[in-house]
Amino acid sequence: MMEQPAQSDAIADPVLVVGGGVAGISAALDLARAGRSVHLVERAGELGGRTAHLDKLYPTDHCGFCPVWSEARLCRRHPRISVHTWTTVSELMPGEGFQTAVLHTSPNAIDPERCICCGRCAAACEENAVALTAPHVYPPVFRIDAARCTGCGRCSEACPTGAVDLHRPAEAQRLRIGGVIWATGFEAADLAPAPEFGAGSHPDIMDALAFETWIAEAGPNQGAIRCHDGRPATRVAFIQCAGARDRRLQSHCSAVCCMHALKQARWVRRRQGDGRCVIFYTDLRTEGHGYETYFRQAALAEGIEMVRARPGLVYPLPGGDGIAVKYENTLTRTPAMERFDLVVLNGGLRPAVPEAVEASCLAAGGFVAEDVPGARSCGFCKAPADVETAAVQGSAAAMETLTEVVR
Amino acid sequence: MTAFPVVNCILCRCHGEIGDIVSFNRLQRQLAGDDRVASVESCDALCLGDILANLARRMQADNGTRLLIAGCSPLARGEDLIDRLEAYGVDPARVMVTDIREGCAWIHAAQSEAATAKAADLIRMGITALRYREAPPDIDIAVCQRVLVMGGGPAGLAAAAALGRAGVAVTLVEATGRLGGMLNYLGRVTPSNQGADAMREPLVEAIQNDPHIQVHLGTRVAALSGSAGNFEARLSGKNGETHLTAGAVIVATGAKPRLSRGIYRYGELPGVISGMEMEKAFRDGGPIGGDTVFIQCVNVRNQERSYCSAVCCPAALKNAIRLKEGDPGMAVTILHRDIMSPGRQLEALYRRATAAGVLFIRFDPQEPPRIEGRDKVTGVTVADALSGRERSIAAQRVVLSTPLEPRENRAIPLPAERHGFYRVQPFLHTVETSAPGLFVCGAARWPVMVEGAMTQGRAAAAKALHLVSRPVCRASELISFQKARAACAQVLPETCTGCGNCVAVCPFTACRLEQTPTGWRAMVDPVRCMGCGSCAAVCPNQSAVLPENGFRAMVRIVADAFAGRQDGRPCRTIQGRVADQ
Repeated sequence: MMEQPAQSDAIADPVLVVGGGVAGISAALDLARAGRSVHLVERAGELGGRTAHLDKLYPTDHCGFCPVWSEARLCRRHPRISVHTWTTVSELMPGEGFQTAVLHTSPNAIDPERCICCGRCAAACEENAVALTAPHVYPPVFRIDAARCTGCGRCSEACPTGAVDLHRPAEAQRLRIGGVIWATGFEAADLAPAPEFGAGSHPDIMDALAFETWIAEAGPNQGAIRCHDGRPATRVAFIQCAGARDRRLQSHCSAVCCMHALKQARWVRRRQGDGRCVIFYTDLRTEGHGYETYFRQAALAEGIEMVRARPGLVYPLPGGDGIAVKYENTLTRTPAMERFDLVVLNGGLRPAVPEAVEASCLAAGGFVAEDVPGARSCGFCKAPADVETAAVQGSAAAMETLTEVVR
Repeated sequence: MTAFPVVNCILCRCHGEIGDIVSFNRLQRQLAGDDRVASVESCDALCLGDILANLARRMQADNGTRLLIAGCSPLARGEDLIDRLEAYGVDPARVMVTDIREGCAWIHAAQSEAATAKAADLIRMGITALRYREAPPDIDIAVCQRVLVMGGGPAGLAAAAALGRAGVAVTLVEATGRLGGMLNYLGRVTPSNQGADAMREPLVEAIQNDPHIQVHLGTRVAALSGSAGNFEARLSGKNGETHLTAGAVIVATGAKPRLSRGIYRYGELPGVISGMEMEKAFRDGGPIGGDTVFIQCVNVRNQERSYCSAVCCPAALKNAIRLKEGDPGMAVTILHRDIMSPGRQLEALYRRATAAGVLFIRFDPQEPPRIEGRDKVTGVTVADALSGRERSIAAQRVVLSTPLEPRENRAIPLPAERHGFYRVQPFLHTVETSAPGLFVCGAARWPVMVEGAMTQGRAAAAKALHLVSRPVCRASELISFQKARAACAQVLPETCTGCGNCVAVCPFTACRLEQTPTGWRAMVDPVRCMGCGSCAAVCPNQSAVLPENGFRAMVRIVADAFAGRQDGRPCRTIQGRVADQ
């Protein structure tokens, strides 16, 4: 089954791909198929990145996990890809024609090779320190939260296969590599500089990623649209550009949030019956592949209300009476104040940049620069990108890395 | 009647996860009484220890037997078990995993009796499926190690250059007499603000200096046939027609900017120009004066053409800034619906335009702007959606942003979506199409800017490189998102009536009708077939089959599902098997 390498570069040093989301997976697979060895480093316990944690993907409304799952398996099964989970790159040192990377693997008390996913450790833990990393990722990955763990050892007693060892040490390894591809994705931005959005002031005001989990079919509500106190949420507001296109936070547009909101709003409308679902937007950016059609046929047809406004105040009403949103509809020029049950803040995404990236390799806005010698970047850490773009960029980065060495 | 293979069963207790709920004694008793099963074993955890290695050794010694594993779901450890057996040298077609943990023991944990009955049913069905499984040998494809790149624009140039650097033979076909595509028409390129010529020169030079790349200018692909590894192209150019064989084809034929006469009085009133004419004015370098109004979303994002052309907002921003920089006193206005400047650099461009003094006015598509002037443009009247007032803007020039329209090319055997852009695979495979070996990048796929098109070109090159880097590849490897395809469909010529249903439904154009001495018969191209089974579903007399899940096998599996329950009592000894009649 082994393919022949494309070139006589079998001796070329392996490539370090940092980040196991769609961009990293695409890059790793294309490099490995072309004959290069790859070290794929992922901070979390499973491959797939943010995409694997999404309940649905636009514009097809497919499950987010499924398309990534098969690719993640290919990575794990490929003889030339070494997958390092729970691992970060702590240092990167240049050398003569190669680089040295120091990988740090955080102590993982549960040995994935021995875990049979039975969940007895989670049941035995009195501190709720053992939990699934994500509800719908399969096979399930359990993780012990070090902050909560008291070291009582009940989990290791409960484990039938002896997979739990609370004293497993952290590991560090040095690797000789010939090229780095940064694919570290994004993280939620801190909304503290924009207090008007009320982030953190009430559990029913949440960001879009939290909301995705909240309404996920495999999530805590099994797909129902509820408030945190259990009431059905009949009025849901999405606030776009909350934390993006804003000089106080970050000036870039996160590029994925318009479609993300349309997708979520569509599912809310489908599940909540006759409730209201409002998207407060500034510019509706549906420039991607099939996005405008999705907006017109899938979203508008579901009865989503589009209001061009940037709400100036979001605050929880006293007595658990919902969330007030104060805004001015800029198309009708009417100020209004409305009560919602759930408010989703959408847009505050910033590039996730690992420590090993030197400051000189950063572009404006904290993104990882594209063409630093010996390193490339792809996906959201290079510039805001959706699944499709990130995967294409991953493949392109792989091709650039391959041909750079051959040349 | 064919002899059925002997099936061995191994049941995994999964450390009590299954064994504490399902009665293994009863399962074993039943299987011992089943004459289709040669041996039954149980173990505590198949995935741990050396049980699997021993199993593999026994299977290699005893070549005809098959193995049914009853344990956890294939999604959990089940498929890993098959992988590991394969690593020990066992043909994976001889092994099947039946899930009696996730889908049985766990969800019926409170009903031990019923769970045992269900496990017995599942195992019985698994045995039948495994006995009937046919695994036709894989097909080796002799691969022509050449890539045909159609189109010499940014996407095609990037793809060809990357492949050439990787040492792959490339034939680059360009319909016009000049490489560069859209770079020949643009002034500067957003968002880098580099001159289009400065960007084009090094690209073209790299192509021309690469000994691996043959360039055919003024040449079109008149016909394209074949499948992954062996595409046949008929090239028609100045020197007549030539034939070319290529292992992979990258379609980078781009899109065309087009404005119909009459839209916003275009072509009727002097001073109303298209975005492309604006680019030409910048390229020609002549002085550009006069107050200018840009109008966005011209004949796109409407009912008829419900897509955003993606390139026009950045182009308008770029040109507006350039006009303002050339003459700060000039009034430059952009009439827009939504400004499409996603991401980092384009959003920065939008802010730069605002800072440069470009005026933005939002309009409602229900009330489009009106062009004023009798024999030349004098201004534009627009209903400002934000202020609610009608505004008259004096202007000597109106630039209609030119949307991209798909090009029609009948030679390319690819399905298009409703607007005419080529249909691609979703999510992680968006430069791949339903035809393995045929890749699409650039604006032929969807409107995209120069930089994005080049990225897609390199991504397509990576996919093509994988296919043509080896002289022989296996048909089962052609699906990039799974390790191997499920199976290749077969049509039984004895019963096929040539109705053509399979040809109509096949999403991979793998089925075709052929004239035989006894009439029309459907044929399946084993390289194109992806094993989806659509043909088997529509075949009126079961002539089209997937060997993995043939009609005979399916009927017997379904019959076996209920075989143990004929008189309503669960878990009877296995009887009433129709399987072997």
